[in-house]
Parts: sequence; C-alpha cells; structure tokens
Amino acid sequence: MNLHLTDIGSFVMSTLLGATPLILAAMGGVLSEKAGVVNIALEGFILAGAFIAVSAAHLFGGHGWVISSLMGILATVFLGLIMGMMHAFLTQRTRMDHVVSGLGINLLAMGATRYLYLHLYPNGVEVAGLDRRYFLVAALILPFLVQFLLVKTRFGLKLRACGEDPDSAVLAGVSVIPVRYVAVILSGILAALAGAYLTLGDAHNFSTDISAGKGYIALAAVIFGKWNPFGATGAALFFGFFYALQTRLQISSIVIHFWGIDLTNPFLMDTLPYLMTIIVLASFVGHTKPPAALGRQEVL
Amino acid sequence: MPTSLKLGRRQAILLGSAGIIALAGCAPTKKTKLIGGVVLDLGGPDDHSFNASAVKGLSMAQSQLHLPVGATKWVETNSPSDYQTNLAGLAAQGYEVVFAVGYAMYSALKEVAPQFPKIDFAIVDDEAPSFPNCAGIVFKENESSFLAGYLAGEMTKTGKIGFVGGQQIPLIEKFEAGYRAGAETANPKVVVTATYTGDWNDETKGRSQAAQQFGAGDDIIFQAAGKAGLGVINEAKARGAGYYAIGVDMDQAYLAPGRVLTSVIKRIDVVIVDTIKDVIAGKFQSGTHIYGLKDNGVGLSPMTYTKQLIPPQVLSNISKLQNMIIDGKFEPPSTLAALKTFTPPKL
Repeated sequence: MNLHLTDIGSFVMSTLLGATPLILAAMGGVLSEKAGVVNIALEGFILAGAFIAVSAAHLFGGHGWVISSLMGILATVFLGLIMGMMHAFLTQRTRMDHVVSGLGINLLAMGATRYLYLHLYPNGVEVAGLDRRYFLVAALILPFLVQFLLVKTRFGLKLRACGEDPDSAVLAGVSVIPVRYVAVILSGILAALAGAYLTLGDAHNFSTDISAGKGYIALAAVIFGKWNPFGATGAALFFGFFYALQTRLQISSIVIHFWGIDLTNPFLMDTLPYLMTIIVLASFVGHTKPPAALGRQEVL
Repeated sequence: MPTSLKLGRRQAILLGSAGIIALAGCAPTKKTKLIGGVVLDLGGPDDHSFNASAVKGLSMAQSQLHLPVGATKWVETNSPSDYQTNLAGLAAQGYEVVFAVGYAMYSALKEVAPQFPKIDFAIVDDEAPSFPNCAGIVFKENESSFLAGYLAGEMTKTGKIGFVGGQQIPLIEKFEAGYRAGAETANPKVVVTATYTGDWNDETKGRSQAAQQFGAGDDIIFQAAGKAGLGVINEAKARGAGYYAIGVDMDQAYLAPGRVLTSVIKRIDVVIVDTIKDVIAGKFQSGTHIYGLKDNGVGLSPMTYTKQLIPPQVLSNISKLQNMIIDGKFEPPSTLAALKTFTPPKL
C-alpha cells in the first residue's frame, strides 16, 4: 500500500468525523442510563434534531452563516430539551416501560420529520452550515465534562445514586424524579446536537431517515464502554475507525483471506464493529455491570 | 382520565354516525379516470435522482398529455415488505398502468401482476416477468457511464479518479464497468478506485467515502449511490476548486454548480411519459424494452456550469464516441468480467 501523509490525514479525519455524532449521542446515553433511564430514544432525538437544525438555519438563512447556524443550534437545543422532557415524562410520571417510550419517540420523530420535510420543502432545503470541526472539538471535550459532572459534583453523585439504588437515594433525601428529568433532558439535548452535526455540519441539507441508525450505534457504544464517558468515547472511535477502514481497504484493493473468508469484503467490514462488540461483551474481558436500577419501574 | 372526554352511549352513537356521514361525503362523486400509478423505491422522492426522476415523469405526463387532475399518483415505499402492498394497492384502485420503480420490486411484481390481469405493469431497471401484462424497462447505463469515464479520464490532473456505488449488484456494476472502460479509453494510465457504501440512504457515509478517495489523490468521483451519493457531491463542494463529482440519474449540477462535472442521466421520466402515452393509445407492449444512447434513454447532462472548462477536443471526442456506440462500432462492457477483455476503441 502506498501511503501518503495526506492519505493518513484523511483516514484519521474520517475516523474522527465518523465518531463525532456517535460521541455526542453516546454522552447523552451515558447521562440518561447512569440515572436509571433506558434510552433507545437517542435515535429519535438525533433525527428530530437534524431536522430542526436545518429548518431553523434555513429560516434565518438570509442573515449570514453565523446567525443562521446559531439559530439552528439554539433550535436544536430547545427541541432536544422538549423531547428529553417527553421521554422523562413518559418513563417517570406515567411509568411507561422505558423501551416502549423510546420506541414511540423514535417512530414519532420518523413520521413527523418525514411529513414536515416533504410538506415544507418539496424541492429540498439547503443551508450554509457550520464547519464540522466545531462539532468535532465539542465531541472531544464533552467526555471530560461529563466525567467531571458524574464524579466530581454533588449532582453527579445524586444522578448515579438514582441509577444504582433509588430507594436509598430517597432515604438520603434525594428527589429521584427531578434528577432523572435533568439527566434525560441533557441526553435529549446532546443527541439532538448529534443530529445537528449530520445536517448543519455534514450534509448541509436534510433527507428523510438521515440518522440511519446512529442512535442505536451510540447506545451500543455506551454499553461497550461500560457506561463510562471515556469508555463510550473509545467505543465510538472504534466504530468510527472501522467505518473509515472499510473505505480505505476498498480504495487500496488489498484482499486478506483468512480461513477461506474474504476479510476485506466491505459488507463484512460493516458488521465487524458490532461483531466485535458482541465478542468483547460476551468474553470475560468485557464483564459489564449496568446501573443496578436501569429501567426499573417500581421506585418511589 | 380527564372527565370531559367521557361520552354517554347516545352521544357516542351520534358522533359515530356523524363521522360515517362525513367520510361518505369525502368520497369522489364524479370518478376521474385513473391512468398512471408509480411505486417509488426506498430513498423517497427527495433523492434528487432515481425516485425524483420518476416523480418528474408523472408530472410531465400530467402536463404534456393533458391528463385530468388526480389521474396519476405516486406512493413511497418505507420498507421492502411494502412493495407488494403498494403495487397491489395502486392496481386495486384501478390505475391503468402501475410502475414499479426499482429492480428490487421484481419478485413482488411477480406475485402481484397475475392477480390483476387487466392492469398493465412496468418495472424499471429489471427485465419483465413473463406475464402478458408486464413490461421491463432496462437502461444501458454502461454506455453513458463510458462517456463519463472518458471525460473524467481526460480531465483528471492527478491521474486518479474514483467511483462510489450503493451496492455491489449487477445494476451498479454496469456503471462501474462502463466508467472504468471510458477512463481506460482516455488514458490507460488512469487509476480508478471504487468503493461501495452498502447503503442507499446514508449521506454521511457517502461523504466519508468521498473524503477518503479525494484524500488518496482522486480528483473526480462518479457516484451511483442514491441518496448516499449526495454526500459525494457535498464533499466535492466543500473542497472547492480542483475537485469534481459526477452525478447520476438526473442532472445534478444544480446541487453544486461548478463542482458537478457532468451527470450520467437516465431518462426514467421520459420513458414513463412514453409508456403512459402507449397505454392511453392501447399500444402497451409487454416484454423487456432496452433504452440506450441510441434511444436517448441515457446520456450525459448538458454540463451547464462546467462546459467552458472542458477542452473542445475532448467534447468532440465524446460526441465521436457516442456516435460510434450508437452505430454499434463497439460496446462498452456492462460487467467487470467483460471489462477485462475490453479493448479501447481507436479515436
């Protein structure tokens, strides 16, 4: 293989950019799940965030890219807040099963964005967008902030208590439901920002189902990373690496055969990260312990 | 439960019958003749390419053939399990001809077509199932891709060009094989790199693949990857001068003026209009119909924003090659296997 410096550069960049939306959403996943709320709604948050970002940015498109992108981000944060609140309300107030609530939100986001997009923008929509590197920097700083929040602050301690042993948390005077509201709302905002990356940062337009399962992959990263911010980031980078490697191997037309299997087949490469996740989780190396009260309904 | 929503039995019956009356009122009183129905493939009407071209075909038919409002209709497909439902749904409503836009609908069509012997069906991108009411519309994308490959081979400054496909299937192989053969004809030293997204919808993946191909030294990338391919155009646009994408199915130049060197067009829209015209005239023909350069079924876009960048010699060579293909002097390969034995024509 003939590797040039620019070549390696673009490979590293592809890895990082592939991981960026996963990291943003996975940090949301960590916060929510550490507080005891299962969050498969990440996918719906991403999709809705992706739509509102481009929609708001388009509305303010005449004011230059700075204002336009800023409004896009603000709208995304606001919608993430609302949707997070919805998941928190359904799981905490109405005591709905967390997976059912998440699935409902995902289906709602899918239907609503599809309808609104085709209805409002029959000829597509285009925005100036925001450089992807802003999102990348945010994604690289965020794990440190989340770790700090979880480990070094009073709120983080309460949050973890709500996920591990809500009954004791109540006895210690912590109001579990408000803490979980905050955690899930934060996860809504972060995942919606992952969506803003996809449209505002990457595509500069919207297309139906643009999230393409990234929310579920982010959730897999959370589990792979053992509910730890750095672990989840590492897992997201691992997925991003295979995402980029798959293309790299196709370009270089290297073929590696092992036990009669073409290991460099792009579709095999596609499944490899997930296969690795299963293998790692199933083996002793990956003995994981989720937050003890994750998804439990009977608290309080 | 909020008490205000509780209804007595009588109110419920009243409300229910009001609903039925309201629904009955919506039914069309005068029946419009239903002529053309289209079932779109995954990716939706906003793909700026394959599906969008079919939708455009319906609106062209509507205006060119002066059809009454509501005579044509398209439906989206959200999952492959909906193919049969959608095809049968349009047929049951009584559209005279139902188009299955996408090779993936072949087996669904084979199930549905015999159930509606009075309805005509046409599948795009695959051969017709052997029923008297089925037509197949197949394009020679290898011919138009050959011209695009020649253009890219002449225009590259780095000597490396790329290809991003949606899935490694015979249909997309036609694009890749034609493109490679064209590049080889321009310059045997040109290196062609090809990657497949494995996904027709993931725009970020298309962009990531384009970024790496550009990073590896390619300066022109041809995409045949549906919505995922829009990411290739985005990447060329983001990189600016010196980098080009080649569009597919529709003229995609408007998506990034100046950065889309040309588009490999497939006139799904025109074929849909022609088929509807035949159906109205009672001249629908079953069996497989093949559209190539000769029939204006495929071709290169007019290059609205890029024509002035291309040397006149190259443009005249392209039209020379085009005429040679039309006259049957040579045939661009449609599979990678045929590419191996392909000898470039002499200009």
